[in-house]
Amino acid sequence: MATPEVILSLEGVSKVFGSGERAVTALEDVSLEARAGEVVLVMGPSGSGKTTLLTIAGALLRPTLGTVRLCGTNITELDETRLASIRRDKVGFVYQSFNLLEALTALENVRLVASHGTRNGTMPQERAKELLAMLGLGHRLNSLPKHLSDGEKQRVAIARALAKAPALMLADEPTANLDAERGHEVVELLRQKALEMNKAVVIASHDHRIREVADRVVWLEDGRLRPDA
Amino acid sequence: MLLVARKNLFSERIRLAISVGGVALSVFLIGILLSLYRGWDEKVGEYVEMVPADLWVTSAGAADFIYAASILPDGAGAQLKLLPEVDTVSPLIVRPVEVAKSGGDTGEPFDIQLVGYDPAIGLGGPLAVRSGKSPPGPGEVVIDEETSERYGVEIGDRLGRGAESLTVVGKSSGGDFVFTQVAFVTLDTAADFLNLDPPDRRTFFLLTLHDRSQREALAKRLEASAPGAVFFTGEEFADKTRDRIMGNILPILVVLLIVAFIVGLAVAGLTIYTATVEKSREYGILKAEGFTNRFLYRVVLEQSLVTSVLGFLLGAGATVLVAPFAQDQVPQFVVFVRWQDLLGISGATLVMALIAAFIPVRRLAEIDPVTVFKG
Repeated sequence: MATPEVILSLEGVSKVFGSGERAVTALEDVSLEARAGEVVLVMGPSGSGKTTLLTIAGALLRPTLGTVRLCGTNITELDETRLASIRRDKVGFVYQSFNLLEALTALENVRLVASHGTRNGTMPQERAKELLAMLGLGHRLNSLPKHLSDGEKQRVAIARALAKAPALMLADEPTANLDAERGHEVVELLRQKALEMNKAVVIASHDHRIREVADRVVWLEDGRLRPDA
Repeated sequence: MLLVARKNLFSERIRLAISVGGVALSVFLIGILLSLYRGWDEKVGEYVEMVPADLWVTSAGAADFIYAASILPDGAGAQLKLLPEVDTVSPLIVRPVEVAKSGGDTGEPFDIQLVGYDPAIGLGGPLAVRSGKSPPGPGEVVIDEETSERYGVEIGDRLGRGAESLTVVGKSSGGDFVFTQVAFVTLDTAADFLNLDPPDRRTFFLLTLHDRSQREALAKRLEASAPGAVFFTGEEFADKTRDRIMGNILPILVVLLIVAFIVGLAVAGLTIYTATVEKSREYGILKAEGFTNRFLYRVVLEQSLVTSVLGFLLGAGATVLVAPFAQDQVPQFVVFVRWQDLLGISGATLVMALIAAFIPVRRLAEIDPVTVFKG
């Protein structure tokens, strides 16, 4: 069987915020890969640099040192416009606090992202409906976020991330605001979709209960990956 | 329209109402002020423009009908009549004067523009008689119907000034200058009523020419030969009269128009800005999802444009509906709503929308999408 394609590759990535005496090193010499169909769980205590790692992997933040490749493209030196188009086309985000647009219904939240940029042949509206139905929200299409439970909100967020048909999905503490059952359900869903749709998934979390869904777990502490974890 | 712009705008109805209301108020104020200006501008020159004279003759330094600070000798009229180009010469005595209803029902004093004319010539007399008789005889006056409506003066009433009084015998139209109205008497009655000394002084002479097309050329020639007199065409004299009144009002009006514009801009700008600040996180989410700053600017611009269009429609509608009603209630509130002005106001509203949308641009550019990862 052929080795799955490397979707995300971080090589010797460091991130320093501020300068001089006030400089804070958030990441130091981090190297990491995520392949298509693989779920990588980045664990570590609060302040260990998990979110910084995700934002660099998601083309939101530039590393101070090192190289980030996404689907073979070195994104380290790209300008803001190119980074935005990389995020638009290749990265799906799932956030801790769901981050749905409050004025838009579940369907509109997903459709907005689906209709932005080039997508596969399906119409945005139909694609958004399909995704929401696939995630068990076919009956909540026209509900505003304020009328959804937290578990439903996170499923809408996953549908929104999938709507882009991204190569890489990044989830930041996706279970933090959910009870154990809902949390497990959401992470299982992410894993299932990663396998079905051949996406690389990187989850940052300090929730040990979700270790079982990951193909690989890496431990981040004080901005460094601990190889003995 | 973009989905996000529409949803953001209409999901917060109170904010939308405040924003639209602010723009509407501004449009309404601008509309009313402009209409008021147009109304006054139309009225204050109407009589002078409608009098079928080819030339108005005044003494040097006097250039309007309202202040009427012109003194000409009656003999000048006879000299003008000798000119071969001149067909008719009509002398006028014009003075602003305060009168009151006298007799049993004495009212508050009010201003009229007393016009003494020669009924035998007719030129400079009432433009259109609405009721009663005209021309007036000795001791009689034909008032404007606006004077009658505003001060309750009717045919048969007497208008007094000191020991002098005039009997109202008719009503005419077309002599309303908003803050005063013309009232017509004979030359002799005017001289008596105003106690002119000597009584043969005239304020203006109105000329009609055999060939109307020669009026500008004749005016220039006569001015050169008669240094003490000035010759105006009817249009020029109407414009000078308008300028005398409106020239004083215009600076105040411009200040009020600017204030009204700033009110609209401030309300629209502040509500758009606060909405943008409140939605900062959502704009950050959109940035994280790959939407560009340009898209976000478009969202804000569309919100601003829709707010302004709704505000304009509401404000312009209120102007059209309220203006005639206000005119009925307050006689001095003479308004004339022109579609050209509404078009101009729509342009000003567009400028308002663009500026209001520009205010949060920097804020949008500064939104860091990384912040959306913070719980």
